[in-house]
Amino acid sequence: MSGHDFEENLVLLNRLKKGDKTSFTLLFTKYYKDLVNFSFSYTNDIQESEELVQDVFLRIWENRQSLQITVSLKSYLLKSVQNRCIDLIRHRNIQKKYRISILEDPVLYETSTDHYVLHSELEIRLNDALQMIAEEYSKPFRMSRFEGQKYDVIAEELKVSVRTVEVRIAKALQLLREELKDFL
Amino acid sequence: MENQNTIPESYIDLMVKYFGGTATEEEKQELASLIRSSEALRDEFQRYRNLWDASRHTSVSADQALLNTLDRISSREKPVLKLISLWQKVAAILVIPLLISAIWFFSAYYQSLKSDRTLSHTVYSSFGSITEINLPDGSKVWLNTGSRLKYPERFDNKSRTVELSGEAFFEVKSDAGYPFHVIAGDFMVKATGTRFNVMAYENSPQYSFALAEGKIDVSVMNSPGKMQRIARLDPSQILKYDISRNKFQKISEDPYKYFSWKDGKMVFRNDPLGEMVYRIGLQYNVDVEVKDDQIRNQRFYATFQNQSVTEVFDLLKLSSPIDYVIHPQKVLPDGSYTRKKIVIYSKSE
Repeated sequence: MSGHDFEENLVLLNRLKKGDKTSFTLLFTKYYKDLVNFSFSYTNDIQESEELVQDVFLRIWENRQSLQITVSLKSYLLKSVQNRCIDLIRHRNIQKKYRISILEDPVLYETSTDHYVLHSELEIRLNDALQMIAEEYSKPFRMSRFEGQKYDVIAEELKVSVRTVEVRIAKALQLLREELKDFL
Repeated sequence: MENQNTIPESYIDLMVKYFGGTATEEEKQELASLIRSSEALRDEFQRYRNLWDASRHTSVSADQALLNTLDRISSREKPVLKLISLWQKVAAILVIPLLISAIWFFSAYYQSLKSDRTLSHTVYSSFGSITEINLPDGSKVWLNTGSRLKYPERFDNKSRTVELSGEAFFEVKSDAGYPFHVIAGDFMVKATGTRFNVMAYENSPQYSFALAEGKIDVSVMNSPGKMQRIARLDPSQILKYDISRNKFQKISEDPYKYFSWKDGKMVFRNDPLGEMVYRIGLQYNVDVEVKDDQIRNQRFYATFQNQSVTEVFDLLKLSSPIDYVIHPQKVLPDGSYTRKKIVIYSKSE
């Protein structure tokens, strides 16, 4: 994101409120992928996530004149998506595919949207940080996050136990957290 | 946060199991109660969760999704139009409240212009001319071609406010307690005793605010009376706003080229052709099109004064691989004229 993000979002919002479609397009293009990614952590389904995020944008356009955004634009979007995800989970809890169960303690899935770092914001620094840690830890991490593999599949491919995969990914996370501490 | 290394490994272990879906119910509950037990642990969990979620790769394209969404917007907006054409009475009732709110909206902006029922003056500077205006407080304004300035016969006692559409150079009489405001589109410039240029043509691709002397604040107006500052400029700082990309850029350079127009000059200092043609088109009231992308970034240093537009391009031709063609004005069926059009090509060797 550029160094004038805050000011640009101010003007963008202003234009949006006046019904400027170009600003809607700019907003959509800027945040869509990251919001779908964020939504996926709740729904575990790409198509569902895409529909959900598109609905959020549609609603924003329809309510553009009465938009009252006191937090940052990014936080507002994240919160809107999060609320919708939680509603969805509550209404459709029967289906097992959802990663989050309604029986779960909300502290586990309610993420703070105030300091959330988006995928596009994290990407470059994450790749740099991964270069700095041992392959033993970064490889299973990449297989999980970049290739979308579950632990048992990773275990089979690396010819180790699932427990070992867990331990190595935990180590990767710990090292990454340290490496990215000024950023996260 | 100095203490993240005191998070026990067992805690991270629980998180990894939860994230990966291998945690048992007991383990999930244990994790949840650990998080509840401490603000610091909760904070750490959030960060790890963020790291976990945001590191995921997804191949999602915004383009098709955008088209879908715009389609849905259009299809929802159509029926309303049909309603209005069929139901005249409903249309009348709907329109009046909108008008009233619009009037209120504008009157709030122009409070200072109409407060003691003073007249306001609107000055137009037609194409091809620059107009000098002396404001009621002694400040001076140079209004560039195709621009419009609205100001009151008498400034009110709170502030001096004018409204600009187009481009103007302001020489504001110094008075710290009596700020000078320029409203230009969505923006407002606040100044006290300064010399600055505002370029804000309604259909232009870029707005710019260039400060020669003093200090100015550039703000955006969210709602009547509610402003939020975007930038504060010092002398020789320029704020540019690209409308189609919604991008701001603040740079430091000699500001003269931004207002050399008031002296009848066009000054270019390492400016790309793509940007120059806007200024040239404005000055000479012609349409200029750059046909080939590779010459768009060709940069020039040049000062033009009292030259015809063909002289300008002949001079530019001398120092770069460009050529041009002039399409003369055409008469349209309704009797009006199109503007002269100049198309610039890359000159292949």
